[in-house]
Amino acid sequence: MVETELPLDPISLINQVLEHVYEYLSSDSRVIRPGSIRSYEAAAADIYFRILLEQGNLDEDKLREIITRVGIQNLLLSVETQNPEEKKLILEEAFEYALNRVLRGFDEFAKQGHAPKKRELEQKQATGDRASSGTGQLRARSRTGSERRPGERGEEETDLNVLTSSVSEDVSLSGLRQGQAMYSGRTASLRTTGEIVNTQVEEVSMNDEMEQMISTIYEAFYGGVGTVNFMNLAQLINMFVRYDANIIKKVQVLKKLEKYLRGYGLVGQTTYTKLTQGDKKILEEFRRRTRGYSSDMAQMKVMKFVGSDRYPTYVVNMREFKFGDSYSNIDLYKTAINISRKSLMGKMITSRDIVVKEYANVKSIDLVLCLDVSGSMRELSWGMQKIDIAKDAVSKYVQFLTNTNDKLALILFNFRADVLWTLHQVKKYWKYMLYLLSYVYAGGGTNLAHALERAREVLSKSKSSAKHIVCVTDGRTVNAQLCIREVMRLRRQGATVSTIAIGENSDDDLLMKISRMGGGLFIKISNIHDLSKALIIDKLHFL
Amino acid sequence: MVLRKHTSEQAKTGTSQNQYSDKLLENLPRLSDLLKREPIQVEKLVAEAIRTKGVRKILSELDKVLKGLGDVALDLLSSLAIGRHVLIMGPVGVGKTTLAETIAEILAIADPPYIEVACHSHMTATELTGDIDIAVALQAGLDHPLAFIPGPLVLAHGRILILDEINRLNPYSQAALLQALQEHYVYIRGFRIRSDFLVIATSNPAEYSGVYELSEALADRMKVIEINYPDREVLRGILEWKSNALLEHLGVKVPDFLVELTTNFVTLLVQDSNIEVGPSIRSAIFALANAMSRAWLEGREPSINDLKVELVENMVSTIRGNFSSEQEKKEYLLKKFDEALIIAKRSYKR
Ligand SMILES: Nc1ncnc2c1ncn2[C@@H]1O[C@H](COP(=O)(O)OP(=O)(O)OP(=O)(O)O)[C@@H](O)[C@H]1O
Ligand SMILES: [Mg+2]
Repeated sequence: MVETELPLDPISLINQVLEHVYEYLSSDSRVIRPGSIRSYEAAAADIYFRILLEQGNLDEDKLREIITRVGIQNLLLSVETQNPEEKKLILEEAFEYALNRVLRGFDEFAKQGHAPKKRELEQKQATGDRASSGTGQLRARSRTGSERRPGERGEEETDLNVLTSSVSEDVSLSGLRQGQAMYSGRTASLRTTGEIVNTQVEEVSMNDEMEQMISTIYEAFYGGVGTVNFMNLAQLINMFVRYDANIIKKVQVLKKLEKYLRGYGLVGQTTYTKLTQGDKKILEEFRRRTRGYSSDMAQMKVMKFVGSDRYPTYVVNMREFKFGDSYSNIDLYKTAINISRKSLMGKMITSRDIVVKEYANVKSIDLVLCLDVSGSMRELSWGMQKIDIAKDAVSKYVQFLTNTNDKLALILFNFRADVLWTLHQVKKYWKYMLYLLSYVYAGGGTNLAHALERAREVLSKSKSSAKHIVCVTDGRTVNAQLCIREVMRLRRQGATVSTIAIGENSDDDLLMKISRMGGGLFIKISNIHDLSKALIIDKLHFL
Repeated sequence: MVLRKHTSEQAKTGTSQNQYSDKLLENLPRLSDLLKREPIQVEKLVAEAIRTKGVRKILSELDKVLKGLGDVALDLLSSLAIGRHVLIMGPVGVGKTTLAETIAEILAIADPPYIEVACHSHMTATELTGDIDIAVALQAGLDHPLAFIPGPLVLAHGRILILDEINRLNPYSQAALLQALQEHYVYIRGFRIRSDFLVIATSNPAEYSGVYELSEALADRMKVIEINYPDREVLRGILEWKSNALLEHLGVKVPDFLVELTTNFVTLLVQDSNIEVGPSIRSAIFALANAMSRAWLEGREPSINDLKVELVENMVSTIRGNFSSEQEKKEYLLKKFDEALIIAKRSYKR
């Protein structure tokens, strides 16, 4: 049996050590992430090369020291532990465990009492080894090594001698090549240690996808002449997660990014989360007043490009709205007329204005809201930034939708569009939505076509029969022609499109065209303070 | 020198000012040339340089500039040779930047061997990538040498890129850097320019001076080399050597006792658990040299008090720790100095 074993070469020794390090880290509850495959590959090549640089001045202690130090250097930023201060310590433990296993055999190591998780590892040994028996010779070797009886251990020392002598050659070109190939070529050497590779496949594809995303983002980012290098919030978040990730994930990312945004001065003082109850009241009052003022002077124009019979349903009865009524039962046409009349007069909307039809069936809509966050939204309107008012309006809209079964996605667009959150049921996720919303900031150009394209992407995953898009913008977009083409595509998918134009600079001709082709509403508000009303009118019009 | 030679030529031949500046312009890269760039395997160049120079030679050259960093330098070389980017981390003034520059210079894989960027938090992505000057491009065409101002990410092609204080880089610039690292292309207004380089970044440990954290994807591409304070004896050697080097032209030499005293002072501070951000070797060197030059100006022998004043003044701004006020910190440092003095006196008696 002894004769059949090949001498230990440095590359497979390093690989075995790293394999055990990975094993140790993955089974340790203090570790959140045992590290990426890239960092293990780099560690293997780096350790190997570093040993070559020693030019043979190497005893076992030095060897252990180099493997541990260089290994940790490479893994440090990739491994994540619950307590960052413990990270180095845990890594040192992992290397000690791994080196002892590879150089001395597991039994002796356990006898020395250094194995902190002996029982756990023994279990792993019993079950895990059988499972991984396909991982080839390296694994088989290390197992026989650990199962060897004490008398046979002398043979391990010879292994080590072979190792040190085989690395004591001078830094040779072949050595260099081998080291480089291990890392940059990502060739067989590390792949043979199947376990690392297998368990990491998912992570790799995740990474690849992320890389692809970042590069797409950047291609567009630096793509056109005359772009403003300004990322919107959604774009920034989506650099770290998939655009269609669950909203909770996005919130987590935002929490991490929060301090950068603050450092960049992109977060205003009035984020909802930070306000005390008293502050909120004052702010509400202030907003109510400013809104009240503006409503007197503001104008709202609603144009309808859709018949009230768009969703044929059997109407049983008609009555005024009562608390607890399902919104899907509202008579859109009559209610919209009531509301638009009232809002033109600047009066409060009451439940009496909402007319309920009792339908035979109940629907829910998948809604996509595209919000303009270009630089013009930073302008002040009645002492408040337009973007803040828009955020306020959208949060009202979200709160309004919590009474429905509707799903809502939010797309932010400036020079490019990105999904801040994809379709989620408002009823369940509204809190997350409001949180994300509170960090939205404005800056950059306007590209509505891209927003529509993104909306189509989002809706392509929708299973609902009613799909609706609302675009809120205050300016002129690039690529007007492309917008029209996107709307046609959306129509073919069965979605409807409404537009809300704010202020004097908007490209009403285009927006009207979009609404007409999109079979939705065109709502023109001269003042952004009316945005929340406009959104709700639009919503009531569509089921 | 080149300039003077040229002007005399100019006088002879009567070439116009215009032609002269045209000559200078010829040395600038044109966009069309940049777009034709071939990939370069920088790690191969590094490995080749290590092989031809030899490890010993490299280390002995380094030793002329920095002491006690041989092991760290080998860690650095080995990762450059396999194409892994490096982040050098350590307290203020332990030679991080100098190490990066010196190693890059010794390897000399290109001319110039490295491009250095002093990172700051307001850096924009275009400051890293470079940009097209639309005004020039409109008048003289996109391929005019001044139409495209290449940034460090473009200039670093085939070289080492030193990113000093990378922890100051905001997420926007980090993203531009990340893209260049993973794609090996830099995008400027739709143009795609090849750029292969290896990064040596330096950073102070994030908890006290980090303005920004490295993004996960960027961090995953870097290995961390930590530099710590040198051992007492090495430190003593560095202080003596560097402070005397600063004073060479004045013709004075730092008395041994003052070096010993400074070494004690620094060592005491390094070992002190009340102090979170330790002393800077650079400050210690300058404190010694300043104390000497002041005495020299006043035409007298340097006193212990000169050194005390200089050391405390130089250190008070770098050191951070468990102090409620600047005044308290200052008093603490004065107290530490007296301790260092007692220890130095004791060892000198023996
Ligand atoms: N090991 C050393 N050997 C010789 N000189 C040293 C050593 N460490 C520091 N110095 C001296 O200290 C000075 C500061 O070094 P350097 O600027 O590289 O430090 P740094 O770590 O980059 O500092 P910072 O954190 O402030 O950027 C150098 O000019 C050098 O002379
Ligand atoms: Mg520095």
